[in-house]
Parts: sequence; structure tokens; C-alpha cells
Amino acid sequence: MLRTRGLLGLLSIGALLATAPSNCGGPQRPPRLDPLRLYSIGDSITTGFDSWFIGNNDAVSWANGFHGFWEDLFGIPDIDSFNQRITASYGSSGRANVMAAANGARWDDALGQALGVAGEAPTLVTVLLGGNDVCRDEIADLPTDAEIQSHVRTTLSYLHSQLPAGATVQVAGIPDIKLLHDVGLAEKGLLGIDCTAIWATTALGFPCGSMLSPDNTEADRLYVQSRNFAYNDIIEAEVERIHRLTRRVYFHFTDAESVAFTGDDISSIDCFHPSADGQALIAEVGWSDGPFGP
Amino acid sequence: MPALQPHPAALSRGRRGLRVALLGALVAGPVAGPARAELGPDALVGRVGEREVRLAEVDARLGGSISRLLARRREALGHALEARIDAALLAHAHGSEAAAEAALDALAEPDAATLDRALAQHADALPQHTGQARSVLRHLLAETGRPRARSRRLAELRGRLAIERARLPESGPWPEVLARVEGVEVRAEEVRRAARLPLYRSRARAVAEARRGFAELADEILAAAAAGAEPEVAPPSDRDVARYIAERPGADLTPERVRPYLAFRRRAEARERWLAGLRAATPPRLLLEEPMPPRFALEDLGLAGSPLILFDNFRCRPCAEQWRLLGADPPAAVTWLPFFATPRLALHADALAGVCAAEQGALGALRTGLLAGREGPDAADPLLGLRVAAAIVPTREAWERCIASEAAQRRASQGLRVGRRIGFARVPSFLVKGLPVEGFQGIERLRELLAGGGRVPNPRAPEGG
Repeated sequence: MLRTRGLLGLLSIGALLATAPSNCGGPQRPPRLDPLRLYSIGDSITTGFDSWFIGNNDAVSWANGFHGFWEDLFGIPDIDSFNQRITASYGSSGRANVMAAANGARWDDALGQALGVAGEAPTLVTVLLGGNDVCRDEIADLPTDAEIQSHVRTTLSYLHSQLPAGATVQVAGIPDIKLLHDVGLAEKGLLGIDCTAIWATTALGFPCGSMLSPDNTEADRLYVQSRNFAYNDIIEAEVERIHRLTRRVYFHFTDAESVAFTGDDISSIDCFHPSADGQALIAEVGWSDGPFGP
Repeated sequence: MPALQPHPAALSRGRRGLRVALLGALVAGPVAGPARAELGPDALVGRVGEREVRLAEVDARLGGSISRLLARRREALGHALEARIDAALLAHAHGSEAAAEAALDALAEPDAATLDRALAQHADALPQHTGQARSVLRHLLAETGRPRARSRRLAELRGRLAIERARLPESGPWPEVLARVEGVEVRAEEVRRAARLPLYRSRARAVAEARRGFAELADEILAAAAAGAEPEVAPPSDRDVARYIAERPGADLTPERVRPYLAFRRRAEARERWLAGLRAATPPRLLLEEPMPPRFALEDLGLAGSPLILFDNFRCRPCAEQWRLLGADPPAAVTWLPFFATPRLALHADALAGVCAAEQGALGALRTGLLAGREGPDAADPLLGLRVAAAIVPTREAWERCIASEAAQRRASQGLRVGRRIGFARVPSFLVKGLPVEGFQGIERLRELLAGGGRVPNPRAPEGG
């Protein structure tokens, strides 16, 4: 997943940790606000990178995607994103649809992206990050549990302090990156795309050495997957913790690790990011699991 | 919280259960190709010793991915059925499918006023001779307008002609006759034949998923049966860690991060050796048969004598990369046909420019020029391909004659029509000795497929029983 580092360290973690929630019990949680004002924090999965055309594809983002006259005219798929589902369920009046996600973002960029909520007053914030924490050039250079925990906790605390009372933060776990790799590899045997050739072609490729390097062994990839799973456990625990300890905002964890990607769900451009079908699948799983789903 | 620990269950952790309602009912759907056993939840995937493994168990383990693939297979059949009904409607209204195509061509013809407006707008990009310019532009506008003309005609026919549809069961095989259009049968066999590439792809993916899930499950079964016998592995020493870091002087590594990685790798490798021994003693037997890919007769497609046919366009970046690879190390003579998913004036114009540039051996130069142009100030010009080609071809007169010719215009449309008939859904795609191959391909892979000749490249028969 492309990395273009965004805002970093604009606020000191120490100062933010000081604002971390501490109110156990206390008042009742306010009524949940309708998710009319959507704000997404994320990486290239949320920007729809390589999902349809090369580069970003906002229209097919699982979170912020949209489909209107021009998308229809140009044959861009309708993926029924969070944004579209919100309009369908709650109407278009008072809507906002803000994408703060940036290619290459890691969990240590989450706070920088979250800073933007101050002027937006979102009522639903989606967070899907961590793919670039799993994807590093060097396999033995993945972040520690403590680092991930610190970034997650700081970001969620900041959102808690800034969002309107009754807003919702839906945090998705990291998709199983090894599954994307394995499914991509299998395509070649089915007369489909030759992913190994794509990954080896630097003009098309991108750095995810920790999973895609041909020098890696299966044991290496299993290690990266183990970190993927461990990060998800941390993210889930942090989401549950802040939801338990606070009352102003609703926090919800969605398991994206189990999203069952298959060949159609992988980008035919880079053989790694979700395709439009994959984006639709993430949207379906996330919405169905979330508080506004059926 | 400890600094960094591999997840304790990482070596055996199954996929978490999906929390969405997956399409379980459709697993039993009428999804098989002709003469092939249905893939239902009770289908026997394989055996590990005496233990039988059914599809439903593997599907649940994989989070429902198999049922989703089988649902897509059903969707593909549905789309193919509608397409056959459309063809039957047109054939009934016009006497035959060929006559219907000719009638649609006529319907898509731009009127004189439209043509004049477009001519005035794009005159500088077209041949100077007015008659040729009209001919080129008429072709481009007709091709772009054809899908719309077809939709309108079909909407009218659907409202006027009688369509009877068979009731399709939720499970079990479909009836032989799926619909009647003014009494003419639309048979299941012709629908399957029309959709053979997407049907093959979805079934092959389902079987590949089942294979993957079965392999994981088999290891778990074998490991559970041999519980307690897994070998202990010594953790890495400080020296091992230091050596690993020293061997990577450019990387910013710390012992804190390297140690758990090395420990995990040792455990994983030892576990794999142990499992390999268990598998050798009790070989898991996969019983699912992989489907045979469809093969298209090149003669039927009007492409006889072309062992390697590339379907692509100039707007797709992987296509550019594919072209570079093929140019540097061609595995065989490549026949190029323009192909794209969505009809647009620019893509049709590019296709025509490509056909006529290729006639003068300038296709590579056109690609290069177009890729550069796409990033320049003329990127929005729909006739950029024609402008670039006109500037680079060796003989301008032959170029102008070519793009105004019926033969070139037919060839520019051929890729689109053939690609759609095959069922290609992405670019680049290939026909390699009649085998449809979708997506970017490495040169070695193409060589392998060409050398395979008539053989199927992934013939995995059931293993054992």
C-alpha cells in the first residue's frame, strides 16, 4: 500500500494521553446520532487505490464511494459504499462525505488524519488502517505491539474528545494481507492474472516486501500474518476499552480480518489492493456488522 | 503489554467466522457446467485418513468464500440467460441474429446534423479529404452509439414480444429450457455455452478455495491426532539476533523486533517439517475435480493462424507495461486486437488509429506517443490517438486511406466483438492457442502456455479415491 506520509506529530502524544478518557460509569450515553456526516480515516484501501482505474478511485471507496450520472456513463461500478447506504437510509439532507484517508498511511498517521474532524463535526467516523504497518520493506521491522497500541489509543482518545456527543466511530481491523497474497497467487493457475510477474515488475509494483518479496519463505509470510492478527487483537481491545470507559461517543470494532476475498476481489492493476468487487465486499461486511446495518 | 509477540495462535488460527449472512442457500444452486457434478454443501472435498471433509465445513472455515463464488456463478448464468433472451428477441424481430446486427448498425448511424457538428469540432484531427473525414467520424459515432441503439431497440421489443420464463429452482439443476421468446426456446445448454468463461472461472476459483481450505483443515486434523508430539524448538540466541542484524546493514533493525521474528520462523519451519512427516504417513486425499478451461476455436472467431492474440487498449497502464515486456522479449508473434470495457469515442478512435499504425509497423511508436500525450495538455482530446498516429506513420497517404477504409474500421471493431463473445472482463487479456487468459502475464507464463499446445495448463485430477 503506497505510503506518502501525512501529518505527523502535530500534537504530542503525551498531551493527548493526558486527555484520555477516565470516566467509568457516570451519565448515560447520549442518543446515537444519525450517520449523516461521514468522515473516513484510512489508507489506500479507503482511497480505492487501483480498484478500477490506476491510482485513487474515490467513487469506489468502500467508505466514501458514490455513484451518479458520470459514474454510470463511464461504466464505473456501483459498490454500494457506506456513503451511498447512508443516503439511501437517512436521505441526502445535511449530508457530508469527507475522505481524510491517504495512500501509505499507517497507524502512526491516524492522529494526523483525525485532526480534521475538528471543523467537520462528523457523526460517523470510519477507521481502516494497519495494512501499511503489516507491509514493510523489511520483514523484521514491523511495529511492536506497544507502538500500535499507543497510536490506536491516542487516536481514539482524540476522536472521543472532539466528536459531537452521540457520534459513532467504527474501526475496522486489518484485512488478512496474507490471504490477498495467497488468492493473488492462485489466479495464475486459473488462467487469470500472473501476480508474481506484476509484483516483480517495478513499474507496476509497490513496496510490500514483508509479504510480497519473492525471497520470503512461507514461514516469513506466516510471521507477517501473525503480526497482522496480533495488531487486530490490539485494535479490537482498544476499541472495546474506550467504549467501556467513556459515555459521549459510540465506538464499534468490525472484523475485516475475516473478509473472504477471492480472485475477483483483487485489483487487476497491482494484484494486491481490493478491486471494485473487493471494495463492495468490505462495504457489505462493514455495514452489516456496524450499528447502522440491517 | 509485552514489546512484540507473535500471535500465540498464528500457526493454527482459523479464519474468524464472518458476521454477515453469506449465501449458504446458493451453495446448493444449479451451478455446474454440463456433465459435471453439482458443488453442494454435502460435496465430498477430501479425506484425511478415515475422516471425510465436506464442502460446507471448508466453506465455513473460509468465511463463506466458496458460497460467494458459487453465487457469482449463478449471477453469470443469469446474465447469460438475459443476453440470450435479448439475442432471441432481436433474431425474432429481424429474421436472424446477423440481420439484427445489421439493423442495429443502421440504427446507430449518426444523422447528418450530428455528423456535421462532430466534423466541425474535430476536423483538424481528421484526414484533410472531406469524404474520408466523414467516413472516419461516422464509424466512430456509430460504434459509440451502438450500445445505446441496442438498448432502445431491446426495450421496445421486450414490451412488445412474448417472453415466457421457466421457474428456476433454488436448488437442483435448472430445466433444459429456460425461456421461450415468441415460442422459440432458449436452452440451458446455449446459455452455459455463452457464459463458459465466467462459469469456468467461478467454478475453478471455488475449487481452488476448497483446495486451500482443505489443506489447512487436513493439517489441523493431522496435528490434533498427533497432539503432544510436536518438537520443541530452541529460541534464537543473542548471537543469532546480532548476526541477522549485521547481515542487513542498511536496515533500521533492533533486537527487540528481530528476536520474535527469528523465534517465530524457527517454530514455523520446525512445524512445517513435522507436518510434512504427518502428511507423508497419512496423505490427505483431495477428491474434487478441477474444471477444464474453455478453449475457443480460432477459426470460428475469424482468427485462424494466430497463436498469441493480445486484447488491450492504450489507456490501461498494465497494458503499457505488458506491451513493454512483449516488445523486449516476444514469446511469439503477437496479433493485437483493440479491446476495452466501456464504449467511448476516444477508445474507438484509439483503436482505429492503432489498426492503421500497425499496418505501417508503427504501433509501438503510437503507444509511446499516446502514453506521453495522456500526461500532456492534450490529454482530454478524444481524437488524440488519431493525431499522434498521423504524425508518426511513415506514409501519410497510406494512413489516410487506411483509416477511411471499411476493412480497417471492421478490424478496429473486431477485438471488441470477439472479446465480448469470449467473455473477457479485463485488459490486457490473451487468447493463447485458443485458451482465454485474463490479466497481465509474465513472459515466462506466456511461453509456458504456448509450449503447452493443446494441453490444459492446470490439470489437477482428484487425488486418490
